[in-house]
Order: sequence, then structure tokens, then C-alpha cells
Amino acid sequence: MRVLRIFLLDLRLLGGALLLLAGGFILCAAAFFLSLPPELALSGDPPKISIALVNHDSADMAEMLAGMVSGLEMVDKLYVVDEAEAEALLNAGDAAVCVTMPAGMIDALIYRGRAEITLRARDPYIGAISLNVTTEYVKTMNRLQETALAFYDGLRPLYGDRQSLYQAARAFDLSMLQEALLRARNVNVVSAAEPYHLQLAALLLFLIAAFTAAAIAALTARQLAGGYFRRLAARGFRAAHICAAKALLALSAALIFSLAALPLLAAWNIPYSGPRLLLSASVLTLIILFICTVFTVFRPAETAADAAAARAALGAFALLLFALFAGGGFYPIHLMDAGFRALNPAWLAHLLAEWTLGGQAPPPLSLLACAAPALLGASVTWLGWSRL
Amino acid sequence: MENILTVSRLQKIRQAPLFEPVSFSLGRGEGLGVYGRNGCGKTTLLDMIAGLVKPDAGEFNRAGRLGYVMQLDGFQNALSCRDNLRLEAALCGLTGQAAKQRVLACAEQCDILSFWRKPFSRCSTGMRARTAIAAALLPEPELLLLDEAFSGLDQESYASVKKIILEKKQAGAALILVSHVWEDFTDLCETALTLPDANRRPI
Repeated sequence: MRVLRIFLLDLRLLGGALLLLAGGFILCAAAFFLSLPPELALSGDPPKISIALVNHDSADMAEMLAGMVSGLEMVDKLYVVDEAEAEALLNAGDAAVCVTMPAGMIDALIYRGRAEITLRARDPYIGAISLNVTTEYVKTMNRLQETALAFYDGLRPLYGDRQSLYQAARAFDLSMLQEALLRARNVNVVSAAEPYHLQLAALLLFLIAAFTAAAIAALTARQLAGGYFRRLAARGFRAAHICAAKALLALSAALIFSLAALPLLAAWNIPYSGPRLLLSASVLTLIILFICTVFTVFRPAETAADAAAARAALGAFALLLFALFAGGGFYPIHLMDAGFRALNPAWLAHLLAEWTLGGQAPPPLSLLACAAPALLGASVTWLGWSRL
Repeated sequence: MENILTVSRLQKIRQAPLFEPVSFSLGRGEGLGVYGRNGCGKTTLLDMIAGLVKPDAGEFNRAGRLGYVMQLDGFQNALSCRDNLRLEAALCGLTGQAAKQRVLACAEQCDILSFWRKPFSRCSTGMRARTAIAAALLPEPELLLLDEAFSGLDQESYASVKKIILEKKQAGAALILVSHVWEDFTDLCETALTLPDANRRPI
């Protein structure tokens, strides 16, 4: 009952701030949509792009591969050009991606050598999707070739050595690869674009959490500096009541905004369910509580409650800006340097939201790691209470 | 006469003891002033008696309900005086019609009905002081703690607030009034405790 009293008052006081939050959420969502290619933003289908292909391999199979690329569902136009022309097309925006196939690529594939396919793109999202698609194709070709080679090993006694065997099997190899690559269902182009929808959904939910935390932090800082918590203490309320009320407030906000994100999830074909949304809302609540607690408790002593609230809000928004960058708002998080990602505070929360929305069970260790900031936040709150 | 409050060698220690061990008792209708310079522990003494802060030494025994007028009022600026009082009534455990009647009675007693619908942020220092006293009176306290209740008030508000407190004292409530202005204790307190030396002397 005491927790409910504090919760209802906070809800009443936050009314206006929640409207601002909704506005901020819409602005952020609009900003992300505007930064994406229209097809990616509005539906689950990857965009159709124009590709400039530079082919250094003179083998017939290389030309055949190039031809097959033009038949892919995500390719709008294919320009088979030299390096200089490819550069010009990329700079002019006539091609979204430049793919360079190296000399000896087919031989490397057949004889299990190494070859490096180079991708260049102006838009990081398109580049990332192209990378995923190319990787999927290469993996498919490698898997098929491994299967064939395993079969060939049984035939080696008939040919004496491996080279002779491969030479004889070359025609069969090429036919098999051609047949396999032409069958679209071996490579799911749509699934290559899915991580980015999940990433955006996770990032938006993370921003919801951060904005909500800023509002709760500002309110709590104002209450702390204004003596409201002392008034509660004089009436027998304890720190546990206040913490529980703030947690309830954070969970309510997280649930409401998670539900509001449902139309986006439906548009992006991200599967969701009640328990899954509840789990993601719980993760968001932990993030909210942690950010809120840090900025509420570690504010400098202020005599003016409004100044304390403003400082808390400013600090929270500075964190939001960093979170926008760290969370992949300006550059895809999957393309960031692995070392930076490991130190990125937004990465774990991001992953948790992605896993939850993507239908995967997060590793138990990651859940524990997420609980650590919440526990730290709770401990800090207790310590902060002793400062009253 | 039964004592409302009995304090025995109460002390709070930070890096060093804030003040000498404090001992006193207070009966119905009695007033005690607490006098000292800034930072000598006057508010801390009240906080210990109110249960906000745990004493490091000594003990106290409090009988009856408590009303506490704090230095920082802790009210919500976005709400009106009336809504702040209703909130305070809820915190005191008052509900329904009983809460409404009690809020109205305290508001009348402290003469805040003329502005009680005003947002608290727009109230003057005198209005805020009277609202804070009205809030402290909600639980019908037998012991009233007042921390710098007259601070920042003009002459008219000062007289008005003093009159309200005096009426409550005459109705039987014990008072502890903290101030760094000795004249505040006149008419309200029979004795005053000076900190940090913890000496008690008549007004």
C-alpha cells in the first residue's frame, strides 16, 4: 500500500514528462526511419540495389557467377566494369555496392585455396547487408564443395592423386555449384537483413528505457533535493518502499512503450509474444533503474530542487547521446570494432533486447551480467538513502 | 504529569560528536527551544527524535503522535496546497471522508483556505510556512517539532505562524522549536537547550 502511494504520486507528477517521452520516442523513430533505405524502413524486405562488379578472374565460371548475381532478387542493376568505372559509379551514387572478384577465385574454390572478395559501399547498412549476403553465398559454396570433396576422397584410388581427381571432377563441380546457387532457397536473402530490424527495434527500446530513466531521474533528484523523501521517512516510509515504487514506475513505463512498439515489430516481421515482451520490458526496467539511480544519487548537493533536477536531466541526456552512438544509432553496431564493442556499455543491453525479440534465450551469464548493474544500482540507492 | 518525550544522553557522532549528550523531558503543553549556531546539530537532534536518524548513543522514549515541520518542506511544487495536504493525510494513514474533514479543519486552523488551490510553487514563504504547519497538525500530534519555522517570514506571517503554534501548545501539545534567533522562543518555550554544550536554561 505504501509503495502504491508513492507510485501513484510519481505517476501523477510524471504525466507531462511522459508526454514528452512519447514525443521523443516518435522523433527518434522518425530519425531512424529517415536514415534507412525506404524498403528496409517500411517492410521486412531488403532493398533492391545496383552493384558494380569488377571481375579479375578469367575463368568461365567467374563470368557465370557474375551473371547469376544479376538474377538475385535484391539486385536492381548489375554493372560489370573495371576498377576506375566502379569507383566512378560508387561516387556518383549509381551503384550502392562495388564487388571485386579476385583473379584465381574459382581455382581457389575448386582446389580449396584462399581468395579475398572485396566489398565497398557508401551506406553502412547496405554494406552490412551485402556483406551478410555475400558471406552466405560463400558459405554455401564452401559447404557444397566440402561435401563433394568428401565424396571424391572415395574415388581417389581410381585417379592416383588428388590433382588429377579434381581436374576430372571440375565439370561436375561447376555444374553442381551453378545448380545450387540458382536455387534461391539455399540462400535466404531476407534473413540477411533481419539482424538490422532487430538491431533497430532493440535500439529503439533501449532509447525508450534511457528517456524514461532521464524523466524518473529528474523527478527523483527533485524529490531528494526538495526534502520529499525526508517527509516520507518521518511518516515511517523506508528506502525499500521508495525503491520498490520507482521500480514499479519504471516497469510500467517500459511495458507501455514496449506495447507501443508492437506495430513496428509487426511491420518488420519480428515475431513477438506476451512473455517475450514482458521479458524485454523487464530488461528495460533494469536498465532504467540503473541509469536513474546513478544520476539521482551521485548528483552534487543542491539547495535548489529545480537545479538538481535540471542537472540530472542534462546528465541523462548526455548519456543518451553517447548511448545513441554506442548503441548503433549513427553506425551499425555489428560493424563496429570488436574491441570497442566489448567495452560498449550499450552492447549488452542491446544484445539482450535483440535476443529477446529474436526469440532466442539469452545466455544465463548475460542475464547475470545485466542483474549486476541493477544490484549495483540498488546498493547505491541504499547508500544514497543514508545521505538524507 | 506524564511525559510526552524523555531523552537520555542522546548523541550523534560523525567524525566527532556533534554535541554533548542531551538529556531532557517534556510534558504536555511544555515548550523547549533548541538554540545554536549553524551546523551544531539542531536539525540532527530533531531528526533523531522523529526517527529519521539513528542515534549513536543514548535513548529516547516518545509517547503520542508526532508532527514535524521541516526546514525543507518536501512538498510537491506542481500540486496545490490542498493536494499537498491531501497527500500528507494519505501518508499519515487518513483515508476517505475522515481525511477530507481533517484536511479542511487544519487548513481552517492555519488560515490557508484563501489560497489553498494555488500551486505550491506560486505560494509565498509565509503561505508555505502555514501550509507546512497545517500538514504537521494533520495527525493531531501530541509532540510538535519545528525546525526554523519562522525563517524568512515577514512580520505579519511571523505573528500569524506564532499564533497557530501557541494555540496548539495551549491545547496540550508539547513543542520543540529549533532556531538560531533567541527571540523566537518567547511565549512558546519555557526553557531552551543550547548546542553543542547541551545546557538547558530558562527563557
